Amino acid sequence: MALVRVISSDGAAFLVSQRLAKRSGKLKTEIETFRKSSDNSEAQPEIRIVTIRAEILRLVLQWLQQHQNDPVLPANQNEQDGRGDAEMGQSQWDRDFLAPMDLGIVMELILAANHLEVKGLLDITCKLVESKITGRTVDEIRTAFKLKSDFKGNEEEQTRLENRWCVEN
Amino acid sequence: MDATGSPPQKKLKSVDNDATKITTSEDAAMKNSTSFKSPITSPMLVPELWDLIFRNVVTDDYLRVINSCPEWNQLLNSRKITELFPMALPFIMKFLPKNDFLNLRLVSRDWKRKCEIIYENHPARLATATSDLRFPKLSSSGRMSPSFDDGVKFQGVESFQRFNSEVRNDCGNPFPGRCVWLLIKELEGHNSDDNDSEEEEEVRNPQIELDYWNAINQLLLQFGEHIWYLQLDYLFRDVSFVETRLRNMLLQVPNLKRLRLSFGGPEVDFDDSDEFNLRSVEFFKQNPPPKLENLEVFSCTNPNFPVYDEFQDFSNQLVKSYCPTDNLKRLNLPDMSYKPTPLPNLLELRTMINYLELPALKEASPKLESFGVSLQFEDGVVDANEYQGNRWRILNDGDDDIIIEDDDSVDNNIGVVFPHWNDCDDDDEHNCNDDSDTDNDKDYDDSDSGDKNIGVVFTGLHIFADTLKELDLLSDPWTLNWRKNNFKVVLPKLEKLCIPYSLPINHLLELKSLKYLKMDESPIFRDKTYCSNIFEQLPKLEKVVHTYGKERRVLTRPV
Repeated sequence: MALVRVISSDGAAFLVSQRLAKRSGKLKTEIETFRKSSDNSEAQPEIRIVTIRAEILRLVLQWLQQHQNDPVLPANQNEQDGRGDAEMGQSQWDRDFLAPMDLGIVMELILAANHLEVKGLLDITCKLVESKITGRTVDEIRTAFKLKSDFKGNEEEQTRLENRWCVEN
Repeated sequence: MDATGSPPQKKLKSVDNDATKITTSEDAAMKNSTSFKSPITSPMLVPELWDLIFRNVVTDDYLRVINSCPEWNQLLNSRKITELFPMALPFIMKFLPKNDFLNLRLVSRDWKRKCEIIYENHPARLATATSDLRFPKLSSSGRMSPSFDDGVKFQGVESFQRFNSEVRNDCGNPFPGRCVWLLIKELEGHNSDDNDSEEEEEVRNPQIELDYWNAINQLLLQFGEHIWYLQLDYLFRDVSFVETRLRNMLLQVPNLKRLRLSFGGPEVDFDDSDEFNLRSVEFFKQNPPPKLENLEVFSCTNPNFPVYDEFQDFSNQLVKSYCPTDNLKRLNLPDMSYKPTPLPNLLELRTMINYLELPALKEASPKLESFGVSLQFEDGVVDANEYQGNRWRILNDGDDDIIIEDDDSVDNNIGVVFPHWNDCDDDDEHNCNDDSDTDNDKDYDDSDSGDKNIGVVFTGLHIFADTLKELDLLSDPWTLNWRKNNFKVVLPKLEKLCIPYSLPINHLLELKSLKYLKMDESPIFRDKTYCSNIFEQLPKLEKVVHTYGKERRVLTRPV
């Protein structure tokens, strides 16, 4: 089985099958670039991902492994309105996968999925964050994201007025 | 980082040779640690010092730090949501309804600022947005579908006045997304859109008209500098004031990046279009407007009005007068005959243009990558050989119709890739697949075809071969008779081609970069061999869309 060595920003190495790795657009490109530049067709590619740390990279690879038999979604599919993709692609396994994560980890996963071009993972993680916002009050959003209001004077009221103009019309 | 600036070295994880199992050895230990420990560096620093060092690290640097080692990640964990959410928001945006996105502006000052930056740069990515600010969507007839869902919409004097009184000018930008839609209707009794009839604000006398313009001017004077994206639908009553009022409005929006103008007025006002055009030219000479130096996208249309002919020169004047020479990237003039203007960095153009102006266009805008075009041909005899060096002659048949004839020397080879296509019958889609011999002049006969040829269209476009990636032929001035010649479309960088007719594959074989092909339905699509061969012959082709009336069929590359 052809393997590829994927190394995280903090130096952890993961050995995975090229078949699995190629489900990431980024890794696929890197492997193909390595193949073109390497004289030895048997050589094992080594790819450094300098923007993703080990814990996050492990999660991405774990998700890819679970979804290795799914059809690959093009990165630009349904760009204008990708809502359907996420809902269609989310399984019970995905829900269990995301459930224990705090929002900080989810944010890191979004950035990693985007960097590695894993559209399915990008969609479900974005959808998870979206669910913490859509239909919630501002106070509920602050609670979910552990933030406090720092508006001064009537800034918040003025912002609310601007929003109203934007929505009303 | 150590004293040399390198991040602390980690031991490589042991890897599992079983490729389907991904195992790590350190994560468990990391998860179990609850108190922050300094990473091993030289010299060692106490945790409090790291805290101090990283206090002012933001955005990209923040991401680099948390990815460097688990200890730093743990130290900065509490700020993770705040720092990373704005970076992730552009991807989350497409799932967010507009109201909920706007709510994020109310969470905190920091989030308001960050959301606005993202919204300003991706205003059309909200889930509810149907508008495409980058380039207006066009219907099949080439008319712009009015839609500007992201913007603050002003319609009628009351909305201008109410905004002026409600919103303070000292809080910075009052327009989320910096996107504004001004719907200005001067027309008394005008009824252009039934959907708007209840809200329609009509100007019925000079005083109201004066108030109307005062309110608009006050709004733009107060807030115009905050507007980056402006849609201006201007339905005028008296054409005499169009240039002056437009100039006055645009003077107040110096930071515009994208401008969509839509004009309309009563036909009765245009007794002499030449007079109007001459007056416009003279006006812009005497009142040179300042260029909108940040303008990247300019669109000018005249939807639903039968007067656009009178605006041909006026629109070209607007491009010359307002569009910055170096910054303009996209130009949309679907209703107008474009006269090439030096715009050296123009990347996208959607317009009508005279076929003979194509070389001038290439010279004026040599970087053109995306071209949506309705080609026009002059009345009278035009010999394309004179400057194209090709073998087509364009003749006038005495009426408005133009005939393209191929020269006598043209070789009539055709259909070599699919010899059996000749047997297809319009009425019988199952007759397409036998390998019977061909008679090129009989098959796919179209009663309209006969004397005309589209080869000349593509031949004229070959001068854009070094840059053109997208080509959309917006109208079909031809009746189709492609089989009379063996021209090849030679646009090696072309990735997307939309044409309002169909072409046999042998004309497309040089399109080595083509990924997307849209053609009208024709009997060739009923040929299964054609459908499979097209993906073999065009190695990068991913999708073929063919339309038949309102039906749309999509073929994708077989796995």
